[in-house]
Formats: sequence, C-alpha cells, structure tokens
Amino acid sequence: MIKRKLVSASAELEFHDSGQGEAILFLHGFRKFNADPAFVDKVNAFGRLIAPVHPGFNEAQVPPWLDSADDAAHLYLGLLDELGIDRFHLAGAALGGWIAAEMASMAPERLKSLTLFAPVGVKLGTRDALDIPDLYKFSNEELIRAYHAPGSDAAFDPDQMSDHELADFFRSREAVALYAWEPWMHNPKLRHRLKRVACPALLARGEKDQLVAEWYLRDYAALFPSANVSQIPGAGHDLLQEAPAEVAALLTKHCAVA
Amino acid sequence: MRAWHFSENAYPYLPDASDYESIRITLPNRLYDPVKGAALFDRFLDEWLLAEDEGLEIMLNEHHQTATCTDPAAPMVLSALARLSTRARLLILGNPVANRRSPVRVAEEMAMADILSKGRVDVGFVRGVPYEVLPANSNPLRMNERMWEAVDLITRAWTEHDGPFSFEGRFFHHRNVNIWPRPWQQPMPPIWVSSTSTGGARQIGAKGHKLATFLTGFDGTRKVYDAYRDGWRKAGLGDDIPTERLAYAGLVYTADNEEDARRGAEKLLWYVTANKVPRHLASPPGYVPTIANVQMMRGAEHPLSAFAQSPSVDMAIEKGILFAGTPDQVHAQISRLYNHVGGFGELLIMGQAGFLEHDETADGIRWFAREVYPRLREEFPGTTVSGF
Repeated sequence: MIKRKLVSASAELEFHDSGQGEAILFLHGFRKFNADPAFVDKVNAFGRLIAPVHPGFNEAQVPPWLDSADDAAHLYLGLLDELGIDRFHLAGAALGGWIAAEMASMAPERLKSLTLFAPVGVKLGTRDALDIPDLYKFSNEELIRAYHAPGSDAAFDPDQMSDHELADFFRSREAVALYAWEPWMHNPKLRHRLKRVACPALLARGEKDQLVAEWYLRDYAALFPSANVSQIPGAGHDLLQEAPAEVAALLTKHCAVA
Repeated sequence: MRAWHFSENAYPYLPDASDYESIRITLPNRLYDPVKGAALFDRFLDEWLLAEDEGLEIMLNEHHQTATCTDPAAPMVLSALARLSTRARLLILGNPVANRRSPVRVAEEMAMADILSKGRVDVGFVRGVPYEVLPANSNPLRMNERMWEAVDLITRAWTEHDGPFSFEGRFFHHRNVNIWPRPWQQPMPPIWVSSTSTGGARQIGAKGHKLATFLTGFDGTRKVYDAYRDGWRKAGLGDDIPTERLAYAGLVYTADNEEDARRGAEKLLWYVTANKVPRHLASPPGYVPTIANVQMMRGAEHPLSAFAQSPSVDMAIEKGILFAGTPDQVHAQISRLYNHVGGFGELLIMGQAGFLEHDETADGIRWFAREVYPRLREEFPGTTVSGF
C-alpha cells in the first residue's frame, strides 16, 4: 500500500494507495500521514485513497527548487497525471489543506469535491497579528499540546519515542518551516484565486482547535463560491489523530453528495 | 600571531535570570536603559581605542534582539571605529549574510567602511546564530546555501569594475550590480568565515578564506582545523596552509598576579553563563541536521552548554576556552592550545564581558599587550605552516 514514484522526473514521492473506485487525494497536515484503519477503512468503503507524504517529511531528498505549498501542489497534480487520474476528490488538513487549496486554484475543473480540515494558507486577519500562532515559538511540549484539544493527555515524551519517531518529529518541524516560514502559513495570492473553485467545498475544524480559529475557518470558507462549514465537537487541531472516524465520515459524506 | 580585542557590547544590568525565560529574542527592551546603554558604548569604543594604542587589532560583531550583544548594526560601529582609530585592522565578524535580504547592500557597507578606514577592514561572514532566525524572519533551512551564494555575489560586487553585472541565483536576484564606492583594498578586503563544525570548516578551507572558530577548546578546535586543512588541500590550494589562515576566539584575562587575574576571569565567564535561552529558540528545526536534534533528546549536549551548567575558571582553562593568569601563565596556556591544534595565527580575544568594569578591562588589555603579546608574535609568526 506504500508506494514510491518519481514524479515529473524531479521528486521521489512516497504515498499510501489503497482501495478502489473514485479517487480521493488526501494531503496530511503538520505531521506525516498515519494510515489509521479508523480513517483508511472508512474512506476505502467509498473509494480509493491516495495519501502522499509531503517532501521533507520523510528521508527522501527534497528537490532543491521545492520550498512552497504551490510547489507541492504542482507535484501532486503531476502525480495524479502519472497515475492516470483525471478527476478526483481532494482533501487536506492544515498544511495539506493549504496545498489542496493551491491545487484547487490551479485545476478547479479536475475536482469533484474539496474538503479542507483546519486548513491554513490564506491571510484573513489584520496585519498586526499572526492568523496562525507561531509554532516556532513553541517548545516541543507546547507544540504537541497545541495539536490536541485542551486537557488532552497527549504529551511530548522522548523516552517513549524511538529514534525513528523522534527523527520523524523533527523532520516534520523542518518541513513545516520549509513550506510555511515566510509569509507565515500563507500565500498572499491564494485568497484571490479561489473564486474559480466551483465544486462543492466543505471546511471543517475541531471545535477545540487551538491553531485554526473558528473565525479563520468561516472567513476562509467565504473565499469559495459555495462552501459549507462544519465543526467536530470536542476535537482539537490534529483531527486525524483525535477524530479519524469522524473525519472519514465527514469526508466520504461530502464526496458522496458531490 | 596577531591579537584582536573583541567585545560583544553586552548590556548586563538585568533582573535575576530566574525572572526571565530567555536573555535573547523575547527579553522585553523596556529593561534597556538608553542612557546606561549609551554610556556603555562610550566605554566600549574607548576600550577598542585603548587596545589599538597597545598594539592590538580591533574586532566587533553583531547580534539581534539580545542583551548579550547590543550592537545589532555592526557596520555602523565599524564606521565609527574607521574614523576614531588610525592604525588597527578592523575585523567585523561578522555579517550574518544568510539572514540578509540584500548581499549587495552588505558589499556596499563593507566597501564604504574600507574607504573610511583607508583599507583597514577585514570582512567576516557568518551564517547567523540559531536564535536569530526568528528576529530575522530567516528560514532556518538552507542557510548554508544562502550564505555561500551571498558571499559569491558580494565578492563579485567588490571585484568587477567594468560597469553593471546581473545576478540571478537560487536565492538572490539583482539586475544591476555596480557598487560605488568600491573597496580601498585590491582586489578585495580579506575574507573571514566562522564555523565551529568540521563540515563548515572544510567548505571554508576549500575556498581559501580565513577560518575563525569560537570557544571550541582543545579537541574541538583540532578537528575543525584538520577539516579546514583537508578542505584546502583537496581543493588544490597547496600542501602548506599558513597559520594566519586560522583564528581562535577565547576569553582572555591577564594580570600581574593570580588573584586579580582570577577575579577578572570570573567576570569574563558571564559571556558563557548568562546565555540563558530555551532549547526551542537555541535549536530551531533545520539549523542542525535532524540527527543532531535526536541526539540532543538522548542527552547529547553542546560542550559549551555542558560547561555552562557548572562553570569555573579552572575548568574553562582546562578546556581551552579561557586563558587567564599572570603573563607567564597566559602565555603557557595559549602555547599549549597552539601546539595541540597545529597552530593558529589570529587570536580573537574576548576581553570584556558582563560586569567587567572599564578599569579592569583596560588592565587586562594592557597586561596582555605588554607582557604576553610580544612573545606570541615572536614565537608564532603567521607565516608558519599549520598542521603536524
């Protein structure tokens, strides 16, 4: 189910590929995709799940030219070309939501539906404050807490992590910096490019998300011609960790009606 | 051997360290009293000029958003020194070029200072310390690549004299580079680059620039210099590397008796002990390889951070990061390091830190300059071939 492919002759992509039927491209957030059966099985009941690991989140060499969410978007459009997939359902979380929005702006005609979970990628608030908190002012412990709902028992505990898991954690921090450092967590042009995204769009967040605020999601949704907004009760930012079944349910339901 | 008086221009009048999370980056500047700060700069400038009078060269640097170094614009202080001093070489070490938006501006500033000083500027380039990626908004990834591209562009700006050229690199883009004035020194001022790692030192050696390493002690320095020599030779620059290509920065305090020397040395240790910075600011992702962050989680520690846990003058001397004592003792300590690492031709003296007062600083400079320096110059000429 884990596949590797050299895409557009420039980047080796690792991606999860399971199930059959209509293709759903799912783009992970600030942490590498974890093929949790609670999510994967439910999505596969609807169709084929393709979930790449963003360059930088694994050990594969990052192409020297790649340093932005729209670079990743081009790469994934190339991946789908090379897999022979023309039209698809597109979904993404956090950083992956940003990359998905970039893809939607580039090739709206190829989307059957768009589902964004706690997405970043646009600047919506005033210039005097960051829309998304600065993750690089967080200690590792604070970062893990911020990914989850307040009161969660999730913690950063190196003693409970293998070297491989620790390396994955640090690599994810490096990769987020690569894509999102400046401008912080957004492409200033993107908000002006979403009006052409005519497919049904759904934007969702965890009710207790500490990184993507409710106002941010609502204003983000308003950039699309037609988008609905939803909240997952009790959940924090990292929905794939906190509420994989609910995410799969929201996603497949949205795909089914699209 | 040449010796340089170096001060980080610290602002030490701070609350107890337990009252703040970090001395860098997040410390509110309401704690900085501009009147006290200006008085400090009067004395720092006086101390540089005193060092010049005593026959030493002058070195300065910059840092950002920190009380450990209140010079965030070293080219400005360099300009002042260019006019206040008359003889000393002026080393700026350095320009944090991976954090600079326009290398051409850096080329212009350095050329300007070289003109004002009539050719006395040595130009240092540094990648920038990890803490400062936040204030510079500088991506901690690919900093090395940015630094070297910037250095390439700056050296072209200094050395091409036939009208504008254009530059379209990976990181920097300029349609019209044609700096006025050009540097006084031809073809360009001496270039120094700092590194405390073997990988960095090897690259610097391959380019033939001068290498400066900071507080790396006996074994760390030897590894760094070995890597430099290896890079130099593999690049085909020749078998013999003169010691004047290699610099070492350490804390130095000399007095006519051990008691005064120890008192001064204790105060100099502020430079190491005051550097309270939480790990996430000290080690942003991408600044060091992933594996280094994993190793830190498993208990690995930077030798300097480990030392700062329980600092002492004796330990600092033993590690080769501090040279302190009577002139004979300081001479012996520096000679010991020199012989252990295969020689170095430039000694960068951290001669003032924290609460070391003006009179104490001046005494330390004088005792070194009069009683130690002449011997080092005679015994260790910069033309000596380095290595073993």
